[in-house]
Amino acid sequence: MSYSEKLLDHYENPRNVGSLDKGDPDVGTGLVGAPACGDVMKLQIKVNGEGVIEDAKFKTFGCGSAIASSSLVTEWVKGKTVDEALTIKNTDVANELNLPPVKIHCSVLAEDAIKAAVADWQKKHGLAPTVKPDTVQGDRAALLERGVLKSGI
Amino acid sequence: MRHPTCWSCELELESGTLFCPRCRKIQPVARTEDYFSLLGLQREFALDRADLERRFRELSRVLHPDRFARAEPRERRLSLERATRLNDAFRYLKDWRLRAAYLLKLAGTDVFSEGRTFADPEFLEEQLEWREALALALSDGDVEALRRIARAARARLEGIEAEVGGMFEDDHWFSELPVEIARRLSRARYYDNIVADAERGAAAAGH
Amino acid sequence: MPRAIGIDLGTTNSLVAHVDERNRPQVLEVDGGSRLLPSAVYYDAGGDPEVGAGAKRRAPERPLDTILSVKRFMGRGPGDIRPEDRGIYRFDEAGAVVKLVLNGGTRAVTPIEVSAEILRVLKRSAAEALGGAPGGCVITVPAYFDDAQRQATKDAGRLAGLEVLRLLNEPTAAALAYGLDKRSRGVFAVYDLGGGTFDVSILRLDGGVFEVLSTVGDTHLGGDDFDRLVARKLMQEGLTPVNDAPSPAVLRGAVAAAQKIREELTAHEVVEADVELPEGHRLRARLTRAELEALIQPVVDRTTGPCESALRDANVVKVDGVVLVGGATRTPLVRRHVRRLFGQEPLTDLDPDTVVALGAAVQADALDRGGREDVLLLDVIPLSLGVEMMGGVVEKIIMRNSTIPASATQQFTTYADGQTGMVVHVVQGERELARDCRSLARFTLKGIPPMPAGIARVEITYAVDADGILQVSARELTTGIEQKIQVKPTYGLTEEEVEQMLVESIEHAEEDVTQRFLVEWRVEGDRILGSLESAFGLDGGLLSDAERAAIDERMRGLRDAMAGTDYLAIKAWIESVDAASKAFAERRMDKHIRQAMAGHRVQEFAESIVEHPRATGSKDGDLEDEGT
Repeated sequence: MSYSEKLLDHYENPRNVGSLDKGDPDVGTGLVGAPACGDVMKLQIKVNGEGVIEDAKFKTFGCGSAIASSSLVTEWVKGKTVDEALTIKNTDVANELNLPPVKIHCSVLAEDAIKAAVADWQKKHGLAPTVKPDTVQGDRAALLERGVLKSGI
Repeated sequence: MRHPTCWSCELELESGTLFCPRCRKIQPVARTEDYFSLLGLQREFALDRADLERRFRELSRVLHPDRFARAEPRERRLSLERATRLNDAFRYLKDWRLRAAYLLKLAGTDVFSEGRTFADPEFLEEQLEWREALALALSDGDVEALRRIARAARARLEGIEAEVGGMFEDDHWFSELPVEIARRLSRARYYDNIVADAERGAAAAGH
Repeated sequence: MPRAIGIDLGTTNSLVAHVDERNRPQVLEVDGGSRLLPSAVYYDAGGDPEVGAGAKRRAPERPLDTILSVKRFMGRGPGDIRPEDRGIYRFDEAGAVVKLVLNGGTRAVTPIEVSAEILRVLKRSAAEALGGAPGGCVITVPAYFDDAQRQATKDAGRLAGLEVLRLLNEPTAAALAYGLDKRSRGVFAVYDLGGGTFDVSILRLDGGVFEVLSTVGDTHLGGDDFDRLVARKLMQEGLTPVNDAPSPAVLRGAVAAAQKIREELTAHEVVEADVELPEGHRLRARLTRAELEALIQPVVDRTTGPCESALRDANVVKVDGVVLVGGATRTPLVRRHVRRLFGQEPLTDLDPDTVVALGAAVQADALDRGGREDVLLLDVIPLSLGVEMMGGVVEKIIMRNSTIPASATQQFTTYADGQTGMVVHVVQGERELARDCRSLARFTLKGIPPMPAGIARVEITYAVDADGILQVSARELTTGIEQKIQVKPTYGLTEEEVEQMLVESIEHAEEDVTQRFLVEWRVEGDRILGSLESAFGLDGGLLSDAERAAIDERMRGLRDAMAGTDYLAIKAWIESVDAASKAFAERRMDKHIRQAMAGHRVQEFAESIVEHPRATGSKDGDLEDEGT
């Protein structure tokens, strides 16, 4: 078994690499990290007056799976409303890219990044955040139980 | 509490005995031993490196499988287990990051849980800048810049080590500071990656 | 007499050494008085294999049946063997273990068996020199040898009837040989360029503890590469008749000539050669040192990367000394390169060809005696060990340059309801994908209690022992049962296969050894009888008739035994003669010493006294009872 084609595609030809203006009131910025491997993921969305995500950009420093996950998410959120974007689950990302279990956390990171970006935009518009990134447990826990390694110290 | 007994001569022993005082046979590791007690050290962050190395060498001398090449199979097996544990202990205690993580683990804090996302926005902002500078230097093949970046990152690491050392000096660190300490260790991980990538890049660019 | 031996099983040459009674490591003679045994094995159709210089001489005419540099094939799986290593040999790669096809296809041997032949010869030589079968032995391996290569070496040792106490990394062995002489303290680099492998290790020596900090290498880089380059060039220029595709036999001859020429160029600036090659070819060559250096520079340059890596891994910028190992390091270009790399003149006091064997002997002696107080070796695993996870990604579990012995554990759970087994694929290497690493073994775990998926907790422990070889064990935690693991190494021989080979070889080996001992003890018997005869001539007056008769009787018994085939009987009679003549020897000693003090030189009589060395010691107390 090897990396899936989709993953390789997103890794070698990432979509939407770049930055949006952080100061722009229509831009929401999510900045998350994964301490276990030292990944950094920045995901930005530009939302129009109807609450639809017009543009999305990302900058990720980390392994191939992290880059691919964030690339995929920026593709997906374009054209969606903010609420629809919040329904993206890491399991969707993981399945689409066929991530190996050891790399599941990269998809988790991408999910948290989009939630953080949305929360940032909501804060700028005086709205209460719908979901706090840290609180999404459910599926993540189940996926971790199955086949993920815990190295003994 | 039941005391352990020597497997060879059945003498009652203190927990944690290395060699039976009567028959001199090597004894198994006690369940209560941790890496610190294995090396005869207190469970604390502060550590004299030279002292640690001396202890490691002394114990290696008597425990290493080479000393048991002609002993009976059980002794050989026990020496292998003991030497392995000793090597692991030394590996963990000699690196301040691993030592700190180990102390947190002993106190019940799981430092690098796979599912936890790191929320440290200012630090991550900075990391983005570091990473972009590094990417630029790598694509330019700028050896000087890469070495500079590596040096600066190492300096940051030294700072974090000092911070962590300070935190562990607090008598109640294990109830009040574990999250703060874990955060510093996560930051160290980021800088370690930068050092590694910068130095590898400098070596590659130098040819 | 101490019996533990150290063996350097080299790509080009092999050696055996021991530590003598005066605590000095000494290389033993093998193969007709030389200390180097060429690692060449010739398989004659229908006959016994021949090992050593004789075998090497066969290479030009019988290149397919003469195995040179078998070390390059140890622990390699099908498809693993590089094109440049295959040379002209034919392989049978159908099974898990690669075999060399010989004698026109009528015989196939594994590299392990070939190595065992070399080891058998070394063992025999040691037995002759030491007067008895060797006890334990230490065999050296390149530091960069992976698990499969190490296991193969150990198997070869077993097949040769040796008790392998430890595998020792070659650079560490060299450091051991040097360290004891100098009692040094500091950080040292060992630059080991052998016939086929290159290793560089950084060690710290402090108060008798040798701690390996890092080790890096290339298992396909060595003096052989020099020779091939030189041979190719020489053939291009001076081969007659001109031949674009010379046969294997001619190639072999050219490479052998190239090696000699290269060695000559160490001492001379220009070498001219006119060599006859097989099949009516002739090689006329003229090579200057400058030309040689231009040819081999790219190969020497390949050693730079590993050296820099090793220094980086060791966290060391400067070393206190560099030790050179391997015949190829005699080449002036290599020495200059090392000087430039490490910024200092390398240490060369010890012969680079024998230093590894000497170090192995020191370690063997130490292990035999339960370890030494003053010396400790802490070695490392050269390559990371990892496990293939779903998706083909490797999770590293034991990092390279970890001090050994070392271990790590992992927890798995089951994917399917009622799953009772699991396959664990262990690899060695630094790459991210399993297919880019070296496959070590697939372990099948059986007997997990059937449970719903995700409930079982299987804990697997990976342990690397002091030889650098992996052992795997597993436990199921929820039920606490220690499960049996069936271990299937990917490229090695299974236990059964080794046992079978051992059984087949044992009888053969024993006969051989017996024959050798017989010859040896007969020679010893002759010596004793001869020296007694001449002693009677000089000092017969020191004995009474009865005493003389007693000695004569035992000498008769010895002569009878020597005519027979029981070497143990000869040995016993020799001891008996010894005991009977001990008093005689003592009286002779007294007499000659008195004479010396009366103005005569002891030297005149020294030889006749020394002929009977047992007179000077009182070795066995119980022999004193044997009256004269």
